[in-house]
Amino acid sequence: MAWVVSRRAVMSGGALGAAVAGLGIGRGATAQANHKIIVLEETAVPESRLFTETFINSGYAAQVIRIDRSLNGLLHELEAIGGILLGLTSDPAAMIAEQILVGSGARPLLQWTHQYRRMRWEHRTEGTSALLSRASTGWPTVLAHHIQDALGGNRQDAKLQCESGSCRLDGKSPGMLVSWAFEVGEKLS
Amino acid sequence: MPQGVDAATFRKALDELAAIVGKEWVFVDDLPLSAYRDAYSPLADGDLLPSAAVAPANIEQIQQALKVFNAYKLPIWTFGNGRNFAYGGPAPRQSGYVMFDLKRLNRILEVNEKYGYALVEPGVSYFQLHRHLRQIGSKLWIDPAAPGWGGVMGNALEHGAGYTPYGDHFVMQCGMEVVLADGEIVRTGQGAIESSKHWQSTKHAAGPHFDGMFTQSNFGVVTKMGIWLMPEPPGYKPFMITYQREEDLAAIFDAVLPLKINQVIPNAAVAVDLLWEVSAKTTRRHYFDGKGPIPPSIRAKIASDHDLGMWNFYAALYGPPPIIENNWKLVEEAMMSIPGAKLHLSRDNDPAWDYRVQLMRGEPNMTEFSIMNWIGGGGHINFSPISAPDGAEALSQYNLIKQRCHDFGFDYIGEFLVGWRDMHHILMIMYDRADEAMRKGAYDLFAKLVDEAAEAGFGEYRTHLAFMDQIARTYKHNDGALWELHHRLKDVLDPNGILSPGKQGIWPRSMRAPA
Repeated sequence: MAWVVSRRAVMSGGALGAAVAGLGIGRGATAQANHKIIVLEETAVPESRLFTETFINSGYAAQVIRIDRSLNGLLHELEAIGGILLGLTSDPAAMIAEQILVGSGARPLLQWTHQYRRMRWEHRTEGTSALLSRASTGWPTVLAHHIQDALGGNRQDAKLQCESGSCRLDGKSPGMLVSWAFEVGEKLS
Repeated sequence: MPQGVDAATFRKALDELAAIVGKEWVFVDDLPLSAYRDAYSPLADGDLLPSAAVAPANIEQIQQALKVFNAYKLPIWTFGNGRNFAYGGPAPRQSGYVMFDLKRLNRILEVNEKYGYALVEPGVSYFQLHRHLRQIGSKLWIDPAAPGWGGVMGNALEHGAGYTPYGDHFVMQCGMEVVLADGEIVRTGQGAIESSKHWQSTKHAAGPHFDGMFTQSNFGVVTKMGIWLMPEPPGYKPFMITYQREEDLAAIFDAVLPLKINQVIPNAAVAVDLLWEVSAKTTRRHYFDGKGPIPPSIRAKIASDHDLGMWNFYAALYGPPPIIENNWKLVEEAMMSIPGAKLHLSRDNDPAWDYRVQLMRGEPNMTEFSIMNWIGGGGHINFSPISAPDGAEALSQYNLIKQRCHDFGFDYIGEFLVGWRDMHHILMIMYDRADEAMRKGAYDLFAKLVDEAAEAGFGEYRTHLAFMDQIARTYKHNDGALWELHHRLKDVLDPNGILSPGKQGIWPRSMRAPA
């Protein structure tokens, strides 16, 4: 798989991503076909649980790593994995995962943000606005399906910002989440 | 590109470096170099980026690489482990520097159970040392900084602190091996005696004490460091006392001072403000969706909902149970005498309590990062003035800094830690990195605080890359004689100015502004 990462792309990553802007799942190849899909669930975060559940129910997740809100599991669990690791997690969990994974040679595939403001979730993604804007509390399910499609190579690259329908913020939700994916280690075909 | 170096020359230097460390350990692509950026910087993305990174595997490779850096006058930025977030992360002081990444030097060279120390290399993390001690059945504790992925050596060299009785990491450092800019290897203290077995047991030796010179500085590359480790005590009693009013801060520190100076409370006692404490459990948006600081009525609700005080004081007692219980009487009498004080000896389902109890018994963890959920967007920078633990002074400092935070539209989120005779005040300025106005506000607030604190007689003990020069200028006694001394040493020890130029405001002659 050929990946072209330019300094310009790295720098346009915005607030959260170091090296993901301009990169994408499936660019030039179907990433999912050759990789084991590992989903990282931050169990204390309700949206993360829903996202993971969707991956499990649709048969995409070969493995699920669950971490509690201490975040300690991130360091231990990410030491010896290979495949595509993805998740919908809090911002700190995403940052720690990024630091560990990039430091060990993983390639970032996507990093999108989801922020709750004024009774709605605001999403900064690529190619998902119609679907996400029709969702409300179920948006992590929609997002999971979209990422599954992207892993299969069905992807749109346009950067989009949209809002889901009005909903309350779950008392356990941090209200600022990141969906992310990395290609880690050797291919498991 | 490093400043003043053309592409062909740089490529030639990198080829020579690759011949020393191996091609796979010279990084020039954007992706691996992105690991050296400050993910939480108050500066714009791309302001501080390295041109390349070189990761030697041993001392010989360090010496050979230094020859190349000297030959081409390439500025390098040394990095061991950990991330140093809130103080600039692993990023270099200026764009174009070459990262000198020592992560491959990650051996724990010795653990001495009898005398209670370890000798480590720069790449050893707290988690690694903790795991190693447990694996070998050691009864020694480590003293981790709040994020356990930090480097044992790097944190001590940055004057970092932890939460056990061994919490002042530079005080607990004993013996260094340093490679100077010209490649010469120096061992400090008893390490200079060829057959000494006491390099890590005693700091004292004939002649000047040099170890401090290699901390927060750019005079050498530290490659080995001894660190004292606390023997596991037979008893441990952590506690938290909540205080209802902001102005209780003065009474708290007046009560704490004699307990600290007399070592009744042996660890780094810490008074944590309401918002720092609650941010591991909930987020601001659950309580307040408006701009500016959270109103007092909502602060009161937060405190009530989470059974917290405006200040939440953590400390622990250690030792044989009868001694703990005896000392506890003194602590209880002093600390519970403040009206409204409430004692907590355990807390159910409280991640903040859990991670602090772990830290005070030397167990590394990552939980403190969850406080970044408070605002969302992850940005934070720590303003860290240091002073004596006097109640009136603490309150005055708190009022000044809180007011400035509010002036700039930020909440005060902070804590006060007390060592033996020092008080670290850590203000965490949190901001959403995607919000440019908020990020700039954080930068401007910090810059104002540096000067105002200096006017009031307070200096910072550590700082972010972006403010090193400004803070250096606040040390201006006798026309800045202290920094002039740093510069004189720098020019002698590193005449080509290759080692971390600008670290802590110490610049080589070629990069200094004319006087």
